[in-house]
Amino acid sequence: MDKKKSQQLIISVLLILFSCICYYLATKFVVTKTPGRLGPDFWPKMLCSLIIVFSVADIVLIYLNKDKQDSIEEVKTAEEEEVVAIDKKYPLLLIGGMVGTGVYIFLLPIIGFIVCTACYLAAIMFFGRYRNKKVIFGSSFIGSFILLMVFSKIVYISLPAGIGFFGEFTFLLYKLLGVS
Amino acid sequence: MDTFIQIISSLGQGLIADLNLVTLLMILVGALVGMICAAVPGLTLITGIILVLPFTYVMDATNAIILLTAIYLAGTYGGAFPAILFKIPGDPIHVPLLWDGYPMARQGLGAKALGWTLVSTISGGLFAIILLVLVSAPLAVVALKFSSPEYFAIVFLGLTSVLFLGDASLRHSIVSLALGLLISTIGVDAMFGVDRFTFNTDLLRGGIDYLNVLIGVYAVAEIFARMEQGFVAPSLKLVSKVKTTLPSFKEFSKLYATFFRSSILGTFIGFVPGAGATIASFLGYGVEKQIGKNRKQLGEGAPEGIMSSQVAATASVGGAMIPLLTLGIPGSGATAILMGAFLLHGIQPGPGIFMNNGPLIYAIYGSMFICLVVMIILGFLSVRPLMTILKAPEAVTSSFILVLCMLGAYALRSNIQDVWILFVFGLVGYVLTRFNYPTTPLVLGAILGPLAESSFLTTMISFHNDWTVLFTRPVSAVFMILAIISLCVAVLLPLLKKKVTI
Repeated sequence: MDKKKSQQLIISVLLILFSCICYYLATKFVVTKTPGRLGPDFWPKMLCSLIIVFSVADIVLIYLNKDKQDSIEEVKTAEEEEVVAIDKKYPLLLIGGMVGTGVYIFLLPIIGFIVCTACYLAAIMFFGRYRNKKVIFGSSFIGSFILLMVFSKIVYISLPAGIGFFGEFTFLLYKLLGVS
Repeated sequence: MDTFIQIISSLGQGLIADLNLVTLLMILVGALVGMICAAVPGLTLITGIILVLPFTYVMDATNAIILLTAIYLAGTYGGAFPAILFKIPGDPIHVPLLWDGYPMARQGLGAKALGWTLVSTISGGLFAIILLVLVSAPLAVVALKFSSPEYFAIVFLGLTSVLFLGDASLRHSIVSLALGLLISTIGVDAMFGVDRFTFNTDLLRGGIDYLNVLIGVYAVAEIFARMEQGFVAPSLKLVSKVKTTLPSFKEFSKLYATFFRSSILGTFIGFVPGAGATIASFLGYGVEKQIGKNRKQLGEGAPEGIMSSQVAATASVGGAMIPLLTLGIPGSGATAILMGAFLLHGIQPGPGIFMNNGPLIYAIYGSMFICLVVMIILGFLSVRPLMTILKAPEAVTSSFILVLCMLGAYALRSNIQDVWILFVFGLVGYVLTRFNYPTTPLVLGAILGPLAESSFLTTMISFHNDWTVLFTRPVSAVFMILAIISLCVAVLLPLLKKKVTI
């Protein structure tokens, strides 16, 4: 079995597991049943069953090798070969970006919007293979400052201020900006 | 006749209400943002609406919706510039322009190609908006008589049509749709007051806002995908002069059949839930290629190729507004965000909106006409500046888009948990796309899920579990039959394609 098929298999199995858990949880909904009447568990159970049925069908078809996409051996033209060459993947950048975004959301309430966002913007630009340091630092710090201004003074949404020293820093900034 | 006069009079009042500095500024800003987002590869018109959404929270409802509608309308146009001049479609809507717009530009007729695009955008938009104005109010009166079976049948049609409109496998589309519908069940059930999948957390009791699902799956997942590609900037090789030259009226009138065909098709596609401007654009071109008078020249720089796709794309905007305003059913990502904006301002789209918020609706209609005028002006003036924006490094624009998406999620309830939910849906969207599961059914399921479930359960309770009621009431029967036909098409189409290949 090739890599693509095994990945597809893993996804289908995960979907089945997820749906089974959801189905089980749906059986545990606290509800007084009225005989002959559909309850709040009907809809989720039906949807979970749908996912299970079609994911099982997917697995069966992968094994039977009847899936159209997998069974047709693709013959690459010169143009397609060129596209493949251009279509280079950067998995480390992707993982870095995902982890970085998770860390950013985690740190946002601790460090506060202004510092956290400036660092996050600079990090994404740098890991995104952009190397103009002036633009990176300038746009990330000025950008996050403008966003803070817009959201606090125009949109009136209180962005995370941070705790401890970072909180004091944000409030000082708010004071300077005239935000009450 | 009285209804017609009333509609025209209300439209006139709406237009007059729009003639103030703030509203005109909103239209201008919306048109600019829409065009920029559609022109820059990696951004789409939906991303544009998503990015601006948090800024509309403090606006009054009229200006907020007008701003978002202007982005939606202008977004069907902006991507034409890079598609014609650089062979880079800014938005998937404009891929068909590569087949005729770019060859025209290479023949030294770039200015004319841009002119055809502008004329097509304006004429298609005008056709659909006029239809929207004339049809929506009478349709809303009819919709007032609809009950839960009719609503379920309409939503069911929307959910089934999304299955055959994409090019992914039917199994994957159904799984994605079911996932979306399942997401919509999270929270306290509205009919029985029961906690579902809440794990005793207050945040999940309130349910998952479909805007979070939509922003995560469409915008965040897209940026993750572009990260994986290393934020590769497309190479810009200009093939023609950056100028717009309009075709003459005589030239335009020769293509009246293409215009009417694509306008009707685009408006209809917009009306169908799940199908948006991109599908309209491709179908418009496809139909022209099949039955157009000049079909053999298509693909070699024929104006029919530009007109068919562009007219259909812009006309789909007016079409998509019809179910949103008359039935309260958003059929696309863009109209779902518009629906969110309506709800955030305490306005429920649906049959009652013309009675409760008539002036607002006609102000929106009026703004759409004004937006077309603004787009004509921008079509001449903004080509050069737009080309400069294309040179912005993708890593910089993408990092700001990510932050704005997260700010949008945070602003919904001023809660950091919403940002986590957005992040999770960004990951889900990325994984699904990576493994060929289409994400549009998931988003549509999350949007239409509550209405589908409540209308189905209400029907079952009201009619003592007699599902045949869906087929015995005339309106619901029509929609159910259409839904069954679309399901059959979804099943049979791949088999037919396979047979043709063999």
